[in-house]
Amino acid sequence: MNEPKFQCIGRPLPRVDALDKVLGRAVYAGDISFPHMLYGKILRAGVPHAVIEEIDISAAEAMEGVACVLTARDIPGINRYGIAFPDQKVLAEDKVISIADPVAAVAAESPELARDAVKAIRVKYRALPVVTNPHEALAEGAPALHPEGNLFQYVKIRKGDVAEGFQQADIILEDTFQTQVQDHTYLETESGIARMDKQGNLILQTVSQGPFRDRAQVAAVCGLPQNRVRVIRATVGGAFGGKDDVSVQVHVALLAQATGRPVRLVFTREESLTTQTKRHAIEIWSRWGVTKDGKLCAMEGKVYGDTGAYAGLGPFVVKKCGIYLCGPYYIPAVKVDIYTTYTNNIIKSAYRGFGVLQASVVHEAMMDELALKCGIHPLKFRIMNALDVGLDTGTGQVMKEDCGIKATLKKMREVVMNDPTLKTHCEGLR
Amino acid sequence: MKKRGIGYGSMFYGLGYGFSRTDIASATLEISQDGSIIARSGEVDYGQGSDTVFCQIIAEELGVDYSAIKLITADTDVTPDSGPTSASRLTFVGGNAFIKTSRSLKKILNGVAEDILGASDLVFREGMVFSRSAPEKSISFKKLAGRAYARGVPAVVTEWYNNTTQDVDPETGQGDAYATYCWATQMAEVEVDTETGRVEVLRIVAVTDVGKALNPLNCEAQIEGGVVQGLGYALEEEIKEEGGYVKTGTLGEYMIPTSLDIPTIEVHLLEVTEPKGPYGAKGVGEPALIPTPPAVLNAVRDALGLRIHKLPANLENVYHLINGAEAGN
Amino acid sequence: MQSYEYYAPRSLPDALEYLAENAKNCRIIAGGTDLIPALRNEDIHPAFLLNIMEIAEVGGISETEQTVRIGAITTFNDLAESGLIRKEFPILSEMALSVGGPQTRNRGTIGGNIASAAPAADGLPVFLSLDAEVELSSRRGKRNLPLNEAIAKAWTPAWGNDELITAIRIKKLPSGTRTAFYKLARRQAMARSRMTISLILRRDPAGIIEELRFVPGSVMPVPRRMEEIEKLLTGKVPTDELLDQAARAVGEEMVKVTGIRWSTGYKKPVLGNLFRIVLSQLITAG
Repeated sequence: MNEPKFQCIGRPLPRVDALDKVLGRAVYAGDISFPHMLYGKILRAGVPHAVIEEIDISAAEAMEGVACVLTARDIPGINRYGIAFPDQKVLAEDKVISIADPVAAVAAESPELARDAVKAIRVKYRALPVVTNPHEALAEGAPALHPEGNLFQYVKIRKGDVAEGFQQADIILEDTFQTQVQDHTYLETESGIARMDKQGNLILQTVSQGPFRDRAQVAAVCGLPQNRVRVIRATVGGAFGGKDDVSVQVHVALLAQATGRPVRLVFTREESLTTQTKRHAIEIWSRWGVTKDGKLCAMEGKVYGDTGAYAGLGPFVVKKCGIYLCGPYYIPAVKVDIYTTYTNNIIKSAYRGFGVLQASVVHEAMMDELALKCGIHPLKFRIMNALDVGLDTGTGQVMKEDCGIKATLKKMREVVMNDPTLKTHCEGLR
Repeated sequence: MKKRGIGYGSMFYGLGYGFSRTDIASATLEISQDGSIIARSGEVDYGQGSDTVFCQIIAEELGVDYSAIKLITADTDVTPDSGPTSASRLTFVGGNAFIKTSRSLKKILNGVAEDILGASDLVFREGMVFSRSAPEKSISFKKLAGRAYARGVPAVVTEWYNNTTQDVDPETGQGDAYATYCWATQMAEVEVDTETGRVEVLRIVAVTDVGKALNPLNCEAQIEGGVVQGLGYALEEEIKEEGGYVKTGTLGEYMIPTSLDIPTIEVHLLEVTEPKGPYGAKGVGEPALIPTPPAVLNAVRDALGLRIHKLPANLENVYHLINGAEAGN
Repeated sequence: MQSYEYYAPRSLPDALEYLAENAKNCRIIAGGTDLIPALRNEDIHPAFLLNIMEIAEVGGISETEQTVRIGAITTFNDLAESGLIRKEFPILSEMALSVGGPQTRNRGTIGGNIASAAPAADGLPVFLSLDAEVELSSRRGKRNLPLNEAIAKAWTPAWGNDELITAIRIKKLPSGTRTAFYKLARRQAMARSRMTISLILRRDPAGIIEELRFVPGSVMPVPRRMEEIEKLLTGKVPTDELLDQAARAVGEEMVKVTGIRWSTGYKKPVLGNLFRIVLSQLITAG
């Protein structure tokens, strides 16, 4: 019987959510409201590293229309959260280590009142020395930002004999690159709305990439068992990794729990840009060895990632940068050292590309420079060194039939060779 | 003077969490008495298109209309845990969970249909269930659901897919860290204005091995979006931090590309099958973006004979790169 | 929380009366693309807001034999779509189309652009290159002020706080005059200018520059014509050597005004480069 293999798979069908989004029917957390709803606002440190000498909330509390002003001592559960490592304080206690650290949370009858109340809170800080990059963080005598010190994670990659590998190389190149911090810039900023039901369950509708992960963090902070916390994702207007970490969730939940009223918390764009998670700036040094006929024989690298004041998913991101530093190429000998450090910068965490983006900037730059030195067309050089069935990655995983890098490179070769405008470029490519 | 250059960027990306980190997805299907379907998943579609792909998978397996499925996602009281939306894992891990669930439900319905139709070579297609050899032996999916309900067979099925891998050797980092990898290569053609340092990207060619394009339209759109995000990273986007303070606090200063900044993007989808993937599929989310910055930066290098070491390749950095070189650096 | 009185009259005398009464603490909305964000950020704290967008006399584009009058609440989009403007001052059409995005062009007005006196304003330098005059109205009467005397310093107009800018007047250009506007920005839309070049050029049949007006934008606190550069080239045939010399001088002139800043290393040479490129194109074009 002659029937197509698939009936629905493989077809360019319109997205199920498309119509709601283009017609404005999709409901984002900031669109949701309930009767008697309050508006939340967070007071942040605004200083990168300081001891808190005094917090005076009396003026804010006395303001008409302010329902509550919370500080660290008002937290029913634990004053800690963090997507993978609970190293973030919900509200600061004795010190702050980032300008974004929440110090107090306010719920009021209007967004303007909430903002005014936050302005009325007086905090006295005593400034401490600031650490702004991995080298400063690791330097002797650097102020320790967390009890375990500033080196959050050190990972080694060791494959083959690097010294021997470089011995076989005819050409050795090394270079250092510094990547920058990038913001996710989703259309929708971080937002959420929390309320208590009559049975004492906490219901939170919010932006989220992982509602169960949010639930675990919110429940611990609110001192509730996880089955008493319900996290519902509202329509999410873009995330790209930036809504993986908790943003509004724990604070808006605490405010609803404290007041017994629905509370909505929506970050302004400025707040999103200056306090929420970002892509890591990573400094990457690497040295590459290749034979004169264009075979990679060794690679050595050092990766310094700045995860800011808190881990977020940073240790995984920076580790992944080091693991992928070989690129999709076969290199018999590899040695990489990966350092993830705390600094007083704002938190860095997940962002589409997750450390591999930073690695790719480096391995592709080095591949081009090596190809040039060998006098081989850069695309051909990649094909010559690409991973393939039976070869292993920098971390020793042996490739099977699903290894697709050569297919993409050969397809690219076909595209450029068939392009009459690229004739000169294709010299030496064949 | 305007100088042109061409550059390539290749990458691989391990799909899912790897390194023994929990990487699970579950999915529930519930069939109503009238045959309409409610699907539940803990996954969040934040714009990448997983809801559509999940509906397509259910529709594929059960032979129903994908747009008629009600999919409820990411409500901790209602849906099962499917892990977070990240690591380009949704189609792979969540998709496999829906394949398992759909097939379990289909097995139950198939048993009822075999009994009713007296045939065992049944096909589920376009809302009908019929015998391949004797197509006149048929029953509508709707009717079948009603008959199944009357017989008291389970109408709700939940399945679980576990993509958790083993960990690697802590001393060497060696081991099978990931279930599978995604692959992509991009080419960028740029024009650099040496008198202003402005880099104009003329064209991006993106070749992505998606394993199997479950929805080619969605794959292309996701790749185009990734390319644009990569262009922003390569050329302009930068949050500046000084002394612990963030200096880039508004979208007037932090510049993402606008529609007028986007060059021609030519997308080629390759399908190198991943045996463990749903219908052979791999992930698309992150491979869409990763090759763009290296391709653009290599194209700038090709145009100028000089390489940017400190990203991004914005007006000032490129101008000073050219100028420093001209001064003999 | 801010609160203020809001007034949107339909007649100019009503507006001028209101402005005179509340001059000290009143802000004028002529589009609001700068004002509304400033209010939201609480950067300004006015007690009164006067919206002039409903007043017909403050709008419209009209011409006499010698001049063109552009009402202050003419939006950038109005400007871009005006056939009269495209015919008489194509430089204005080009500039208008380069401003922000469709939303800002639909809201932002030329009066607002001038009165805001932002260093990165796009309209202001072009109007300066056209030797425009502003028409100011108040309860005391009406007067015209050359635009180059109308801005006291960045963000600050030089006219009285009871005066309202009601129109811009520009003399038509002699035949044979060519104009050019160039904007360098970090992206193609919705971007503050990194720098702009506004040029007005007329040459005689022998190729000698009879008149040159040049205003760089976004490089000085208050944009102004660079007369030193204009003088350097006027009355001469623009040879490559002369253009090189002028381009270098442009950067020097800029630094004389701004001093050395973080951006000087970039802006000083690039402003000269752009000046040379845009002027060369104008010369080649005719």
